[in-house]
Order: sequence, then C-alpha cells, then structure tokens
Amino acid sequence: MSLLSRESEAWWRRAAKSRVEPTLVHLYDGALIGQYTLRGLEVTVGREATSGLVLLSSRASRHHARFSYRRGAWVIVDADSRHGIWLGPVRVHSVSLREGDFLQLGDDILTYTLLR
Amino acid sequence: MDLFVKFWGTRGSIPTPGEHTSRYGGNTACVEIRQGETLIICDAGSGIRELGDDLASRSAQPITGHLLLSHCHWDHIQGFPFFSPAYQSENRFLIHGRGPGDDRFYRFLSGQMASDYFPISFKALRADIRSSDLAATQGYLGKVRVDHLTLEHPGGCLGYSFRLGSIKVVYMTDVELPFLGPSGCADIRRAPSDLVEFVNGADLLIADGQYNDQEYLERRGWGHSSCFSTVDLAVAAGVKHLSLFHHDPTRSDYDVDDLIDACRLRVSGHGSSLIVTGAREGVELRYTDSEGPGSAVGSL
Ligand SMILES: [Zn+2]
Ligand SMILES: [Zn+2]
Repeated sequence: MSLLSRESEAWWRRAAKSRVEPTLVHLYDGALIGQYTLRGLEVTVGREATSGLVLLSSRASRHHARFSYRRGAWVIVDADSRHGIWLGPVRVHSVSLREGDFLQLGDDILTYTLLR
Repeated sequence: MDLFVKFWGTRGSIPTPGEHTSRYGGNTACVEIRQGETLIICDAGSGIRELGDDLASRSAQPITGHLLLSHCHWDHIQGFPFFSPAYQSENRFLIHGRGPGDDRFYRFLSGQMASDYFPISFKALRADIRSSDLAATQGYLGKVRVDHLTLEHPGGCLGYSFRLGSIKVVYMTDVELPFLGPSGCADIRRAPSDLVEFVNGADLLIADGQYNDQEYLERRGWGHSSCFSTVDLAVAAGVKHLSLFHHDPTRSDYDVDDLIDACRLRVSGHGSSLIVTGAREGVELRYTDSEGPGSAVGSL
C-alpha cells in the first residue's frame, strides 16, 4: 500500500526529476533587474554588451569576471576588474558559489540561488 | 607581483560533510599559497584531495610544490594519501622540516601509509617526494619569505608567515591562546609578545578560533583558542583581516556566522577596523604587491 495519494506521488516524482537551476538574481540601484540561469561551462559577466550577463554600474568593468562550471560547482573568477568581486566585507579573487551567496561587482548585486 | 591564498579545507579535528556545513566546508586543514610558479601547501588535511585534482586540471606541466605542515595531528595529514599529484612520477614535492636534518614531518606523512593504516604504501607514490627544510633555501620559497614560530599546542605546532614585498600573510592554526588580562574574559586580552610580533601588521591572519569563551574554559589544555582571544591578538597586532579557521566540527554554517557576528561586535567595542570572516572552503584571495587599482584585497 502506498503512503502517498496517486496525485501526491505523481507530484513527488515530477519534483524529484526536475533539474536544479543555478540562478543569479540581479539587483541594481535597489531594483530587481532580472534572473539569469547559469548554463554551459562558462558565462562572462561585465559592462560589455556582449557579456553573458550584462552589468549596469559604471564601477563595473567591461570584462569584470566569469562564471565557470568546475567539478560540480559554479565558480566566479575575477577577470582583473578594477573594483573586484566582494563577498561580504572581503574582496575575493574567486569563490565556489553556495546557495544564498551575495556578490557585489561594482554596484551591481548578484545573489546565487538554486531554483527547481 | 601577486600572492594568491586559497582555502581547500577549513574544518578542525575531523571532516564534517553534510548540508549544514556546505558553505564554510567540511574538509580539514589545507590552504594553498601561490606566487608565480611557486606553490606552497599549508597542511594536508582532507582538503588537499580537491587541491590535487584542481592542480592536475590547471596545466599539463609537472607540478613542484612545497608542503609546510603545522603539526602531525591527523586532521592535518589525513588527506595526503589521496593527493593525486603524489602518484605522478613527473611531479616533485618537498616536505619541509623546521631545520637541517628535521625529517619528522616526512616520517609522519609516510608513516600513516604503513600497511596497517592504508592499503597503498608510501613507496608506491611515484612523485619525487623528499624531506627538506627552509634553512636550505635561506628561508625563501621562490620569492616568498617564510618564517615560522612554535605555538602552544599539545605536541607543538608551527605557525608560518609568508611575506612578498609589503604583503604579509600568516597561517597560525591549532594554537591555545591563554586568557591574559586583568579580569579574564571581558577586557582586551594581552597576547604573548612573540605572537604579537609574529602576526604584526599582517594583511591576512588565518588563525585558530575554534571555541567561544565558555567552550574554551571547559576545554583548557586541548590546544585551541577562544575566537575572542584571537580577535584581541589581531587587534593588538594591527592585523587587517582575520580569517577564523579550524571550525569546530559541531558547528553548522549558521553557528559559524553567529560566532563571526560576536567577533565583529567585540572588534567594534575595541574601536578597531579589523575585518573578521570565517575561513570558507573555495574562497581565493589575491594580494598585489603594488599600490593602485586592483591592489590588495587586504587594503579594505
Ligand atoms: Zn587541528
Ligand atoms: Zn592539533
């Protein structure tokens, strides 16, 4: 006898199968700019319009950083930007991202979350 | 000239895998210090396994590395048998002792691979692994000046300072700082003067902050410090950034956050600008020995 109703079981199976989407929520000047899902192996980030994720603040560099997928985790690496990547009170060269991380690049804010 | 510092293991005593420790990390002590081609590895706790895999993925060139151990408690050596570059014949590793002829660290690293403990013998490691000491290179590894200090810890422990031009980084895990002060807990605590001098003016101090005050008082003599004593040492020595290390295995990420918050309160109570963070696996810091843009992380 199943412990779950037929509908609950179907929902549960779907939920378990659904992929986790590593997502950046982009904030600037107090406003929500958008949501960006990290896909592939590398995503560039900067003020340059051709960047995978385009930053808005004047303190962001044209080629500011890049996100790379390495051995099961997304890592952000500084690309010699002028104002760097800040994780809390510290400027970091690179960091392997964890749910809830709050990154500041220039005056752009990126929060990292895992969406289902 | 840049000096890179990367955390591969920050946990104390025993690895603590699990979702409650995934942010600060569950691997035991391992910190990579890199300057140009010079690779220095502080401790071989379980974090060294991932460092090894990362080194192998960076380039096809042979790896030369200097291994500096703080001491041989198991949480500081247990990862070495899983350090994949040690199995490749083209690589070379020097395990540094404290002075000429001191091969104690080499013997402990190899000894833990004796057959009763591990299925593969140290002899099977195909890399060129030798015992050396810092005196053989006049205290320099590449361009990095390395000094050490003996710390208060059961069986002894070494702290290391790394200097590149004006940059100073200190690795000082597993140390018991006593409460020295007029009323013990509340006032700013006096740290032993040799320690203050050793960490003086550091851009980054990676240091033992395993306990809070109450835990320390219950575990005196176990060889670890109250994080508040570590904060006071860093304030007294004019350190810029204190990264608390060797997180207690019982602590979740949120517990570490709470401890860091309490340390920051203490810092502001002292009227200091010291920055306190919890050492976190997967974080890499870069220090540049020059003034100007893109300069030191420590110039906060
Ligand atoms: Zn330890
Ligand atoms: Zn120890």
